[in-house]
Amino acid sequence: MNAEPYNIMITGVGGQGNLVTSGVLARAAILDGFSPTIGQTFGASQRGGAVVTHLRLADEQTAPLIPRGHLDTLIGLEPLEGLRAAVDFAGPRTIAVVSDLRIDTLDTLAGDIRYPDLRDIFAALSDLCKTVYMAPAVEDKIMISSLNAYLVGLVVGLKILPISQDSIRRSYETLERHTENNLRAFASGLEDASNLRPLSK
Amino acid sequence: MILESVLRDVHGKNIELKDMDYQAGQRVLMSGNEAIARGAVEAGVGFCSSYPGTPATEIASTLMKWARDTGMYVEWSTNEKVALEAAAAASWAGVPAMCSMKSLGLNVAADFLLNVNLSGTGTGGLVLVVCDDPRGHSSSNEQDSRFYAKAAKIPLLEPATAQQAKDIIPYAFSLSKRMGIPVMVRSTTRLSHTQAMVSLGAPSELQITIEETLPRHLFNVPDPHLRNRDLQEKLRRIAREFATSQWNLLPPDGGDSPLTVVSSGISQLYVREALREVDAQKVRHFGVVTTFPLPSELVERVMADNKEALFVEEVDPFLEDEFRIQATYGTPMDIVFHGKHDGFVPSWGELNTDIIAQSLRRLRGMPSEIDGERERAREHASSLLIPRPLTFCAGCTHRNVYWALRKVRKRLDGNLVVTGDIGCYSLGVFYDQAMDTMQAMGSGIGTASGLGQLSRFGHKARVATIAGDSTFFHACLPGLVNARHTNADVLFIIVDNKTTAMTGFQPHPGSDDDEGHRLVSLRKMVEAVEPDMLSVVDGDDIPALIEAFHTSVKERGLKVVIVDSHCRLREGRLEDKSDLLQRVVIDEDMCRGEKCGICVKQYSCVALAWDSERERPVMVEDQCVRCGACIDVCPYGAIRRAR
Ligand code: SF4
Ligand code: SF4
Repeated sequence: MNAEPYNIMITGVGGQGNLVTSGVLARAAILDGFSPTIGQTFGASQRGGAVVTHLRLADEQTAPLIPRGHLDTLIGLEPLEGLRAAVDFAGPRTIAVVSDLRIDTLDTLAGDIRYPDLRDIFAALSDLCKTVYMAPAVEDKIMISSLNAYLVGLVVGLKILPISQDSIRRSYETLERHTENNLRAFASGLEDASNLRPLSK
Repeated sequence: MILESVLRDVHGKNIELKDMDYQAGQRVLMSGNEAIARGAVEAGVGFCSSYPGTPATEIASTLMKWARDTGMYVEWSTNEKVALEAAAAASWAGVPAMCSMKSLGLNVAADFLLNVNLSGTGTGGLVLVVCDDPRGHSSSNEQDSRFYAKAAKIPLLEPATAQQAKDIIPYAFSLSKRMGIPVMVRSTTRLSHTQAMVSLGAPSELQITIEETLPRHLFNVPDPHLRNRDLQEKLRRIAREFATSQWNLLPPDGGDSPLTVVSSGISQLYVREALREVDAQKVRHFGVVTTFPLPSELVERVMADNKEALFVEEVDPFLEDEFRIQATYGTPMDIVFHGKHDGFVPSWGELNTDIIAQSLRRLRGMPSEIDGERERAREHASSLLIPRPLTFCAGCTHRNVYWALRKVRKRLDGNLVVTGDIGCYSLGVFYDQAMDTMQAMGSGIGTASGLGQLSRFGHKARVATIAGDSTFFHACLPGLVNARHTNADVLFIIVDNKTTAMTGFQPHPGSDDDEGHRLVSLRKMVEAVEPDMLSVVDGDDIPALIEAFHTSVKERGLKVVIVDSHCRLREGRLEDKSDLLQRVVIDEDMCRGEKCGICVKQYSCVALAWDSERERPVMVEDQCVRCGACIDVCPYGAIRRAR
């Protein structure tokens, strides 16, 4: 473990396909010759809690969690959870691609607490990261359920990751469930990436 | 070819049956738990028993998936003590046996462990895998189970990586077979649940020679003290074996390095990364995997000429204390010890790279890396964050039970105590504090049985307790019998959804879909103790729940209400029947809106949201399972089935 691992984090809420996404990326990374380590928070994933996956690419097993400030790529499936992770892990080299699709909490559902303003969330993200991209809003139902693959498409299209596009596609092709939808979402992410500009600081 | 099969076969978190095709030498992405399971296959284990509990569950569930291919017998036992007893018996009869459990499970199994250590295991060997949960992510406590190895005087191994977790299982068996005692392998949450690449070895063919006669003297009487003496002699031999063991990470010999960092288990990975980060010169790293008995000869050798040591381990200063003991005899060690006792490493919670890097900086008098501007940005961003609390699923019947208890508590002017137990329903401690206590499995009925005796001293509150079905079989039976026998005044509510929902739907004796197993009727077990009142109520029917709880809790004696409960998560996975039901809707004309809000703000089904602009509740259609429970929650009849 001499070179520093490449650190990817996927954040979201239970049910957003967080673990599937880290699996897809990890297996693509294996094809490209890495030895990935996937650390995750767990237990809450089935009951509406936040889910965070740490995917670390190196040549042997690393510590499961990314050290503070050492995050390279943040894939945020949900804005609030994206910011929560950035507070703990973002640093001078973090590139974040974060969806603006908010998922209510128990308290915002009940109207007891207001969900923070999206503009404030993204401004704060910009302060914490080197570069922030706000993922274009997706509307149709299939795209929302494959939001994870769409974001991966964006990240790959933006050429942020050290994993090849080809390996990631092959990894998606071997998914056992929802393969078609994921591939479609991945492809449209790739496409939309060319028009995507970072948020200005 | 190899990579292709990596893609083909290990997609998603769980490894499928076909993985048994894997050949020696292949590299596969596996969680620590899956690696331990694979290690068991490579060790030729024939018998595995366990009780589900995070973070240990996947060891046995993975072996269960592979059972058809491996021929291994795998069972979910009723509790961890039974699991360990069953595994020990298999070992006596010559079958290599493994028993896996979470930290708290070992508390249950400890009584047997501290007997079988003296009586001995059989030719099959017995390996006990215990997964601790530092920080208690999914536990009711934080405990360091390594002290059980010391209490039982059995060897303890703490693998550092997924690879080592797999590789060490066959060694643990060889040790157990040679020494005739159980061997404990300790994992922690981050080892068990982290996935990494593992190079596979060859699966062992099951080669079982059944011993028709059990080993002699499988009891410790009349001379348990002599057994204890003999066990200690074994430990001394094991310590010598550990001193030359390949498992420990040894620092390069000699040099004049003033500081040695000593780690155990997965902390080895934190130390490795922290050392790179801090770039601390002349620091050595001694990664101990054979933690107990301490390999004293090795320790003496490695620590010779050292001035300082820093101990990094989760949770308690187990290794640190063993070193401190060692330093007081044999060749004296002139070393300053740092770790949990002097506060250089936290003695509670999980460790990580950052914490250890910080400890190293403090120890070396290096400034901590703080960037003022970044800290300000962090602080500002933190002020935006709102919590994301956990709650029951939409339509979960546990919510209805607590809602009913809350109503009953009101009717009793607050004079109600509810003791609780372990399961999904433990979330009741957060739901309007509907549940007052939560400790170990089965403690709900046990503590209630005590409270139920106190009216003689003027204790006025009525006593209710709540437990789930899997917990009922695991540890509630003695408490229930005690409550009956002593005639305690207790209402025992059993929320029976017929599965172990908390850990991912493992079957238990009362499950009706456990192929090849006989159903043990929970209701008949309850009937056998002849409670003064017994009723079975549908968990969707809130008025019936309130009625049943209220009428029975007022009475003296033992009352039992079995709540026919539904796990929506499981139903949704098996077969979603909600489409067959009429939609549940909110009648805008009847609803009192902001003057009321009871359904959203108090009952809080997650399928009901508050529209802050219109000050009205709204139904979140794609969440609602159409159970209709909320219909009776609305005092104004505004929630009803669509016509
Ligand atoms: S019917 Fe009512 S209680 Fe049942 S899931 Fe829908 S909103 Fe929740
Ligand atoms: S409980 Fe009934 S009246 Fe009150 S807000 Fe809900 S729907 Fe409206």
